[in-house]
Amino acid sequence: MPDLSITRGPVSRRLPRRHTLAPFLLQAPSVTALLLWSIVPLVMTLWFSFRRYNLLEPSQTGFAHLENYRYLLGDPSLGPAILNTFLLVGWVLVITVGLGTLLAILYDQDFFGRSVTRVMVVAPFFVMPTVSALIWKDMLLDPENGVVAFLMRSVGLKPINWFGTAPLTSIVLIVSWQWLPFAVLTLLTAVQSLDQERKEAARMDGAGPLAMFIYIIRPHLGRAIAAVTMVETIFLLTVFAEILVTTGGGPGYSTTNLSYLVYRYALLETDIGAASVGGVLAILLANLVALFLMRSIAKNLDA
Amino acid sequence: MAYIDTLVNTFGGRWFDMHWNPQINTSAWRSAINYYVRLLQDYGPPTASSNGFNQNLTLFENGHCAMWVDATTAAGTLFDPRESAVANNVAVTSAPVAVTPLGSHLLWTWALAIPSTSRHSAQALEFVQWATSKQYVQLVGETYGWTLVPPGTRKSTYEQAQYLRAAPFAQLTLESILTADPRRATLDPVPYVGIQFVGIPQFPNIGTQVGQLIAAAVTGLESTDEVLATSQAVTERVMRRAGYIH
Repeated sequence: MPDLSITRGPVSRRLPRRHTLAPFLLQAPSVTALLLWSIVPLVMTLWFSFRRYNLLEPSQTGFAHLENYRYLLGDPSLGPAILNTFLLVGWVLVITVGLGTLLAILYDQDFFGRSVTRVMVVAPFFVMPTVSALIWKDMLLDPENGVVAFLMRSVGLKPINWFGTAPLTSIVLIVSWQWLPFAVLTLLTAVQSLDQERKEAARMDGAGPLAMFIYIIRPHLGRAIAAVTMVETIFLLTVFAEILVTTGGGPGYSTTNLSYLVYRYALLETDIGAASVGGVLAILLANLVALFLMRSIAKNLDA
Repeated sequence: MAYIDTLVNTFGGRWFDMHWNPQINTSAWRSAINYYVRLLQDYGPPTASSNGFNQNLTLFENGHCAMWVDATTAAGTLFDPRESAVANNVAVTSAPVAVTPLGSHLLWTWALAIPSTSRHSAQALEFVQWATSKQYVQLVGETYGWTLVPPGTRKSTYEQAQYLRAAPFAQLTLESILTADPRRATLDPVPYVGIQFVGIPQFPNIGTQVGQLIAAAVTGLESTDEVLATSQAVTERVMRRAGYIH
C-alpha cells in the first residue's frame, strides 16, 4: 500500500526562517477572536463559581470561598448525573456506530429504491431535537396512543410505560435515532472510498462476505469510525433538549445528566454560583474524555 | 405536585416546622405518599408519573379515567358536550379527607397584569376590565354556553340563575373557594402561607425536585422510604443554602 500520509517537517525546515512581525500581526485577529471566544466564558465560569450569586437573592453577594463547590459536591444527584452522562454517550455510540456500519455497507450495495431509502435514513438528522423528542414521547412511545404500544398490543404484548420504567433507555433510543444518520453518512462515504480493485482482488482470492468485512472493510473504516466517535462524543456530552421535553430529568434522577443538572441549578435554583461549579465540572470531564479519545482513537487518524 | 401537597395536608403533614426544619421524612408524609403511590399504581393511567393537566383532561374527557382530582376550572370543560364525551355522565365532589379537613383543597388564582413597559396601558386596562366584567360573563354564557363561563372570577356569576342551572358544579366551586384558607392549611402550625405551595422563593425548586423523586416511587424505580429520605435531604440542603436553617 502506498504511503499517503502528508509529510510534514522537512518541507518547512527547508524554508529560510525570517523573524519579522508580519506573521504575528496577520495571525493576531484570529488568535484574539479565538481567545475571546473560549477564554472569556471559561474565566467567567471560574469567577462565578467562587461567587455568591443567586438571582432570587440579589442582596447576597461576595466571595464564597469553596461554598459553591461544597454545595454541588454534596448533591445526591451528582453521582447519578455523571454516571448517566457516560451511559448516554456510551450506549448511543455503540448503537450508532454499530448500526451505522451495517447500514453503510447495506447502502453501498445496489438495490431497488436505494436513493429513496438513503434520503429516509438521513432525514432524522434534520429534525429539531425538541420536535423529535415530542414525536417519540407522544406519538411513538406513549403507552395509550403510541405506535409502539399499538404494535405491542397487536402481537399480544402489554404496552410498557417507556419513560416511567425504562427512562434512560428511552432517551438513548431517541438520541440514537437522531445521530444514526450522521454515522451512516460518514461511514457510507468511507465505504464508498474503498478501492474497488482491492475488493475484487479479495473476492478472487476467495474471501466471503464475512472475511471481506473483517479483513478489508473494517480496517478501512477505522478512521471514519474514530471521527464519528469523536464528533458524536462532543455533542452527546451535552444532550439536553430531549431530556427536558420528555422526562425532565426523572423519575428521580434516572435521566439527569450533567447538562441537565447545570440547567436545574441555573434556572430552577437560579443559583449561578453552583451552576458555574457544575460548568467547571463539565469542562473537567469533557477534557478527560477528550484526552482519552485523543490517546486511544487519534492513533487511527495517523495510521 | 399540587394534589400531593393537599394529600400531605389532610394526612396531617407539613413541609416545615416553625423553625423551617423540613418535615418530609415523617409518618404523615409516608402514609400520604404510600396512599398516592398505591392509588396510581393500581388504578392510575400508565403514564401517571408524568401526566400533566392536559393529558389527564384528555384521558378523562374520552372516558379513560373514572376519577380525577384537579382544579375546579376543569369542570366547565368536562360538562361541555362539545368537548367531553362524558358530559352527561359526570359529577363533582370534594377530594377525600384523611386525618384533617385542613388544607385538603387547594386555592390558586389566575391574574391579569399590565407591565409598566406597556405602551398601551390605557387600552390594556380597558381590556382587563372588560375580560373580568359581568358583561363578559354574560357574553360567554350566551355565545358558548353557560358551563364554559370562567369560574371564580366574580361573585355575581354565582347569583346567575342560568349559570347555576347549567353548571351543577357551581355551588361546590363557590364553597371550595370560600372555605380554602391558605393561612390555616395544616394540622400543626407552620411559618408559611399557602395550601399547595410554600410562599418562599425557594419553593418552586424544592417542589419540582420532590415531585420528580415521588414520580420515581410511582413508577416503582424507588421505594417510598428511599424517596422521602432523599427528599428530606434535598430540601434541607436548599434551606440551609438559603440561610433558613443552620
